[in-house]
This record gives sequence, structure tokens and C-alpha cells, in this order.
Amino acid sequence: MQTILDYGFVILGWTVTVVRLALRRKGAATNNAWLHAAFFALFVTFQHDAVYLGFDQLTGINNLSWLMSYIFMALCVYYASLAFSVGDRWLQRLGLITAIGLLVVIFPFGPGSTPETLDHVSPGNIGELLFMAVMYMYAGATIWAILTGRCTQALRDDEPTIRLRTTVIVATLVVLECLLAIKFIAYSAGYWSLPDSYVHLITDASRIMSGAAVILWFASFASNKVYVNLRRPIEFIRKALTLRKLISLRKHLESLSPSALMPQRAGLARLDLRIYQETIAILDGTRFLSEQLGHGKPVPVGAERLHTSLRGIPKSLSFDDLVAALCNIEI
Amino acid sequence: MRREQTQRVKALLDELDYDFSNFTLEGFADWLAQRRRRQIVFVPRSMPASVSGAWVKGHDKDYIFYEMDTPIVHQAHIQLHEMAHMLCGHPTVEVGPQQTQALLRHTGRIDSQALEPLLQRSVHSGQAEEEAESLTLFIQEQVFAHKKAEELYKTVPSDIASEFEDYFQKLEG
Repeated sequence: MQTILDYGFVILGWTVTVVRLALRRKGAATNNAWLHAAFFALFVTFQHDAVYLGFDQLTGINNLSWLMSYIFMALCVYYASLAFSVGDRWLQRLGLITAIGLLVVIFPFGPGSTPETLDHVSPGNIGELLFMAVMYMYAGATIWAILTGRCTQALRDDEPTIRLRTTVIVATLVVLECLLAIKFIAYSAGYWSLPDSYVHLITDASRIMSGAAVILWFASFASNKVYVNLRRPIEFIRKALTLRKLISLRKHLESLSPSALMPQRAGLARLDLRIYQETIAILDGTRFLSEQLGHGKPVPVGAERLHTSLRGIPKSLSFDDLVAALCNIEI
Repeated sequence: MRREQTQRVKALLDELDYDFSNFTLEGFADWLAQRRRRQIVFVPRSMPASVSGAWVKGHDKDYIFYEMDTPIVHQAHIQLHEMAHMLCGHPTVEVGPQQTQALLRHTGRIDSQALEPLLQRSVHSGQAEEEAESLTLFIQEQVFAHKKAEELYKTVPSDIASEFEDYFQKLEG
């Protein structure tokens, strides 16, 4: 199972890279996005057992693939931060150079000095602990900057598909951040001296989180069409609820001031039109109510309060904001 | 609304032969003005509570007065509703140059004794109102079907400033 997943991650990584490169050539994607994908693909490739062992055998240096995969991971995170325009570019570059520099300096005393191993769950010596800590701290800090910067802002974007895609990106980053935090805390707390049951628990949790992060990462690159289709049921429910509120407001208004012109029923399949028609009916109804109140005609209890609420809605609101304001009126 | 009436309005919409795939409210107003060979002037005003919009026939232009103290989407709906009266061929009140200028110059709420009756006279019968509203809804259905709904959320701009310029030029001339 693990082997299938490992191959799957490598294939996914390179698929995204090729697609992003094609989009880049068409001018539909940025350089940062495809470089981020390319370094991620290189990272998972070098983490793959066969490539890991093959490359180390070829170079004759123990665990050099580990260093390579970490450098690719650092570059992957760096280009993600560039894609989200997080902070100062100079600081970002300094962070990357420092992290890679430290990894290269520590390597001979850490993974380079220990026997060739595919198991990176627990550090073999203090050098490996530092080696891993550098990577986790750099990645953790950069991901935190992305999460608290532009990425979170995009969650408030007007376009629902952008919000949904950003949610997936945020979920990816949160899972990664948790994964890094668990490992970092575990190592700092003297991971190698923990009982076996805890080691297994942390190892299993890390594997599940890594898998989830890769799947979410891949999903964040899905085409816009996928997100539009994903949004559909959510949008339908949201619109149906909006329509229900508008209908009850319109009916309440009609009970207070019966209007002559009733909206046509467009059916649930055309929710947008129904929402529009109900909105117009409510605005027409407000005018009827104004006329009644203006002429001092007797009106039912609550009519004046409703009229005040309806007239209090700013005239310059966009249609969506107007509908939201109408839905917020208490009947 | 009676079935024959609905069918008449539907037939009217079919006869329009209008390309809704490029719909804009302003473009629709221009198209209607060309079809009628009469300029349509849109005039935002604070209308009497009993009237949301009114179509008044001037000497060589049509004037559509519409309530400005209501959300923009409603203003646009009123404009379209008044245009629907034109398309339905409903009769309306005709005014001379002096009354036209009085209406245009009156920038406050239209409730003075002289002006309100004029606008009230342009209010159509129940049947005409139903027909116009029905045609408006059919047009809006077409607009939604052609994914141009956002065009119903903005009004035809009012060219009342140039209308005054015209008026003063005529006076000077």
C-alpha cells in the first residue's frame, strides 16, 4: 500500500508540474506556481525509496538524497511564498539561503555521517536532529507567513470558487503545519527515548498527515471547472435558503399591504430568476406600503416597523448585498 | 392575468426579434428608441408614493420618469417596465413643450399640484399594467436565460443634463 502511495505521489507531482508548465507557456499561470510544483515533484521523487537509494549509490554519499529532497522542499516552500506574495522578497530570499546553507553545513555531521537509511522518522544523532529542525523551522515559519498573509485574505474573495480553492490551500497548509509541529515537538522532547507505542503513534499520524497534505495539495491545483462543480450543491442550498427568506418577507409584506402585481413563478430550477423576482416584488411592496402610510390609511400592527427597516436599506447596494440586507430583516 | 393576454404578450416578445445574448438595459433602450424613431430620455425623480414610474410623450421625445429613491435594481426594473408599455403600444399622456420643461425643471419631489396630476394621468389601467409587467418579466426571463442578469442591476444613465443644454440652446436660437 505504501509503495502504491509513494508512486502515486510522484506521478501526481509530475502531472501537476507538466500541466502548470503548459499553462505557463500559454500565459495562464505564473512562473512561481509551476516552479513550486516542479520542486514539490522533485522532493517527492527524491523521497521515493528507489530513487533515494539509486542516487546515493550513484554518488557514493550516504543520505545525499535526504539533503537533496530537503533542498527541493525548501525551494518548493519558497516559491509558494512568492506565489502568495508574502512579506519582503529580500527576507524571503535570505530565509531560503540561510536554510539551505545550514542544511549543507550540518549535513556532513548529520545524515552524511550516519548509515544509509530510508527511515527518517527518528533522528540518528544530534546532527540529524539539527538537520531536521532547520527544515521544519524554515518550512513552518514560511507556511505560517502564507497562512496569516494573503492566503487568509483570499478566503474573503468575492468569487466563491476562489474562496473554495483557498480553503483547500489553507487546509493543506494547516495539515502541513500540524505535521511539522508534531515532529518538531516530538524531536525536541527527546523523541528517540520515547516508548515504542508513542513512536508508532507519531509515525502513523505523520504518514496519514503527509498523505492528506499531498492529496489536498494536488486538489488545490484542480481546474476551475472542478471547483465550479463542487460549488454547485453548496450554491443551490444557499440560494434556496435565500429564496425561502425572501418569499416569507414578501408574503409578510403582502399580508400588511396587498400589492396588485404578483411575481411570476420561475420554478426552483431557476433560482437566480426567482430571487430577482422576489426582490423586485418586495421593493414594489415597499412602495405600496409607503403609499398607504403616506395617506395615513390604517395599517396592521408591525407595518410601520417593517417599512422603516425596508426604507433603511441603502439605495446604492449591489444586488447581492441588497438581497443579503433583505434576508436580514426581521419579520 | 388571462391566458389570451399572456399569449399576446408572449407573441409580442417573439415579434421583437431582439438579440438578448448581447443585452444591456442601455442598449435595449437605444434599440427601442431607434425602432420608435423617437429619443427616450430617462429622468430620475422623487415620485409620488402612488407612482414608481411614468412615461410621458413629448413633442419629439419620450420621457421616462422613474423613482430615484429606491435601490438601483428597482430603478432599472421601473425603467424596463415603462419601456414595456411602449412595446405593448399602450396609450399615455402627451405633453406640450411648456409642461415638458416644467417636469424636467422640477428637481424636488414631484408632488406639486400642477405636476402630480400630470404624472397620475400617465398611470395605466389595471390591464395595461398587467400586460406591461408581464412583458417586463418575460424580457427579464430572456435576460436571465442568456446569462446577462447583471445587466438588470444597473439603470440606463440619465441624460437629463444634455436635455437642459438642448433646451437652453433652443431658447438662445
